[in-house]
Amino acid sequence: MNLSSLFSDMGTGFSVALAPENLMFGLLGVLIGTAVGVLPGLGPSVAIALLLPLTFGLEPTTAFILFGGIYYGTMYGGSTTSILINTPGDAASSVSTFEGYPMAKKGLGGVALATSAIGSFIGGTFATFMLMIAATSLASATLWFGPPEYFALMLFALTMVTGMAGKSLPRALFAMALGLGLAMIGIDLQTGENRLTFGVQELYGGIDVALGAVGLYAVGEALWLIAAPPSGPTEQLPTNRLWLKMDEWKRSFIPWIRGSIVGFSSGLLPGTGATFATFMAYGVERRFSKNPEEFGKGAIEGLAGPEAANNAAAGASMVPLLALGIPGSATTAIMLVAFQLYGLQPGPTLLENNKELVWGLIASLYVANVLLVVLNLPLVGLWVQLLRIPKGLLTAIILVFSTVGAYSLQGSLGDVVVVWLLGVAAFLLRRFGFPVAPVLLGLVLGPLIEQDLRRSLAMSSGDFSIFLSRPISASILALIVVIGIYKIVPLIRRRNRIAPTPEG
Amino acid sequence: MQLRAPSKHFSDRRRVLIGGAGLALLPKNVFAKASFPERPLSLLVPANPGGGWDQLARLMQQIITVAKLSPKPVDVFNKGGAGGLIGLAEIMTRRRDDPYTIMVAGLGLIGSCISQHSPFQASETKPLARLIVENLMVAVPANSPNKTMEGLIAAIKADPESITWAGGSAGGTDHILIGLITKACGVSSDKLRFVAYSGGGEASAAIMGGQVTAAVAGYGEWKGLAEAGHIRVLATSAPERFDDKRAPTLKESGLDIVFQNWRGAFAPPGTPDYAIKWWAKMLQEMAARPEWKSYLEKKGWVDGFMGGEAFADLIVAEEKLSSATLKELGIDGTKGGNSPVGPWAVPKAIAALGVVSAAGIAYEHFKAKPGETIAPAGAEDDDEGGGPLPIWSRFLAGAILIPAFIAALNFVGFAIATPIFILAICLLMRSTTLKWDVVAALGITGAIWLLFSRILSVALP
Repeated sequence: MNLSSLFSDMGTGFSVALAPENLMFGLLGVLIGTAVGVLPGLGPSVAIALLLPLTFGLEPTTAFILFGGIYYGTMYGGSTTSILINTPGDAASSVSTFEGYPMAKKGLGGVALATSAIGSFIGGTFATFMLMIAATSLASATLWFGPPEYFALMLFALTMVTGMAGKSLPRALFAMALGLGLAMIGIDLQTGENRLTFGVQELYGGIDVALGAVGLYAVGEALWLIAAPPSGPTEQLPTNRLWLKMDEWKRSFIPWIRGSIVGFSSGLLPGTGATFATFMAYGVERRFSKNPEEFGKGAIEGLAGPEAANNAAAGASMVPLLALGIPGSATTAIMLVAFQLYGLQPGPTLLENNKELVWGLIASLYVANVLLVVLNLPLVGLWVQLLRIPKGLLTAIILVFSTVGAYSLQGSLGDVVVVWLLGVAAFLLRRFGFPVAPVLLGLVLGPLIEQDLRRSLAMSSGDFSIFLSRPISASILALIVVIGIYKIVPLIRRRNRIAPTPEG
Repeated sequence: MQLRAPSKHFSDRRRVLIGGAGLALLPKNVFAKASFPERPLSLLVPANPGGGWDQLARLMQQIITVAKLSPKPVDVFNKGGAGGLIGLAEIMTRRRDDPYTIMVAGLGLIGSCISQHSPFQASETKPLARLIVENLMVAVPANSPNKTMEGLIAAIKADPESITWAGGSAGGTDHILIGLITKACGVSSDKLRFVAYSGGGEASAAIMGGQVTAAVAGYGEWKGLAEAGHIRVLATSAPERFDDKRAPTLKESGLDIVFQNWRGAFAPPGTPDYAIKWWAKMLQEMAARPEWKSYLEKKGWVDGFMGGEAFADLIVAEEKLSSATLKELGIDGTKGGNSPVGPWAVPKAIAALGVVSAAGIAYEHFKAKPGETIAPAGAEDDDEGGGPLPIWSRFLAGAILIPAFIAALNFVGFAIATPIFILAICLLMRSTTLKWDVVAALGITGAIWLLFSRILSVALP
């Protein structure tokens, strides 16, 4: 791309984005987005769908600036409650509970929130920058990925369960099988067969990942708080430190960058979503970390990576939308509807003919990121005050918000019952020493891995060699094997070494 | 059909119950006649945001709002799942007598009713109007060797199993058209290789990337992609050429197929006549607006306005036709489609994984030395597994309070159930600040109510 035309386009973009009215709507968007992100269950697609009628009187550019703000805002907001009270606002931010909540328990809640806000800023800015310079070529590159490649990629993500296992791998595998099994519930897309619904109509559509996150984490946590007697009044979580130390900057910096790249690449692929991106980023951090023993106990790397990935994936899903008109996620699908209501068709012609709109939107995504980080860093001090709420009231609030959030997704009490059952299941798993994260991993990856396996085999008339004859899927599968050997060999060696000395 | 009988009976009983509730409302309805509508109206979309039904509903909302066709605001709410059956069940039961809600759906709903043995049928609603007709398109990747429909037909006849098709979910309109084409080519339906995608977005990525040989989608859905040169349209399923006569029809290409998708509005069966009249008149006005027509043209949709009675007849006819076609294609819910890996292979593999890991857990358990804990309780909470163990009685109390709250939401409503629930949890957790908890419970209830029903305009139970 011509550099000077890029500068002049961006100049136009910023002059649009910084016009007082647009700036105001951008600010409104990030505020609404943050609020919706904090509420359990509600995500960006619901927020944009709800606000769509309010934008009928607005200029399209202004409306999309509002939507862009909401999209990034929910990604920021979702992690706040994950970190502080183990209650993810949406599915994509549930990974932030893995390391963020242990950090908060150690009194590092403020640091975790700051890490998350800076990571989100870096991820979002990186994605917006890539969107600006290479949207069209990146979008075309994603078309190389067909069902076999998706399948290999999902299988790769599934192997991350070994990193979540803690002390007992069979327990993690069992939890993952449970999640995968839950993911099979509902009408099968390929054949229309009704699976494991036992005639309950509310289950025909399957279990929404957002309901899974709220049930397994928020309700599960609330039940644990109710049942576990308080460990004494000495427990004082908040600390005054709200900013990172030099050492924490050093440990977070590379994960932020890595998370941005991982999140952006996964977010580009239609259908994978931000939740997948955060799981991938967590797995990558765990694999590359110099302090693997700290994972699960508040490793800052394991928070920084997914937080950057979350926002990078959100930005990346705009790439196929703007460049080709392909909506890759629920949020971009509703944005496509909005474009069409304005009589606009995203794609190359939009990039040519509506420069003001496209560049205004891109510029406003930068502005939204700056607004969010400026807004959220001072708010860290306020958010940690959440921890001062008495435990009883806090638990009740978690439960009420989970219930209302689950209900408002579809206006269905059936969904609320699903969330409650998942909460009870999460409590029981935890009581008997099973990790909960693999259940969610299975629930997120289950539909993707199954559908892409069967799509691939439909393409090849049932011939499994399709996975090896295509270079990208073959390379990913080879990578899985290599990592598997790399992981298993030291395990066997250690076992052999330990065996003669029965001391354990 | 035998399967359906008990659920039908059940729904009849439910209907009586709900009819009773409706009777209580009757006097109010009579008085409301002249002044209808008195409160905001809803367009129920039985699918998630972004699809064809949703697009139509949001267009309706936009035109009704901008042209001020309704004295009260109109909102769109999505209740997706089961190919539209969840939303259909909503207007057949809970909103049976609600004159303020109508459903926006289309031909695909009829297919779902048949293949899922739905207890309700689309013909049991009060159809208001058919609004649009959408032709489907047969498209191939831009660099495909198949330049014409005739070429594709020859390829299908030569080696049917080498042709892969992408489309929406199994049993949907895309799948039906592909089945009809396969049949018209004289190829048995079990040689059809159909790759289902959950939305037009993912399917469009598959066809643009050349992952499949050909794909079927709504003409309006992919019109933009075709104009930008990302895909090539070989034919449409229209009776004659349209949209500047750009693409040939299937008929011209030698296949005797005309297949049109349509979308329209349905009122709940208990809607009183005055409300039906109001909706019908309003929809007619809407469909006559110039901005409606210009949007349809831009989008590649055809104006297919058809009033309530004719529409009702059409639905009955379509139910018969779809039932026959789905049976022929083997997707009537008894046989399943013909995916090489059946619907139960992956669930079985998962069950096997569960059994193997359970065996592994048992092995670990027996190998462990006395006093050694392999997986401490609450490991998620604290990796050392420390902390006091939860008390079962308190867990049970908490676990029972939540469904009690859900039931209370249904019976006494949000405003009463919520503060009581909050206080109950505080009591259960032996809160020492009860006075403040009461204030907080009321404050939180008010704040949530304000946030959801006023700001986000989501109805609370």
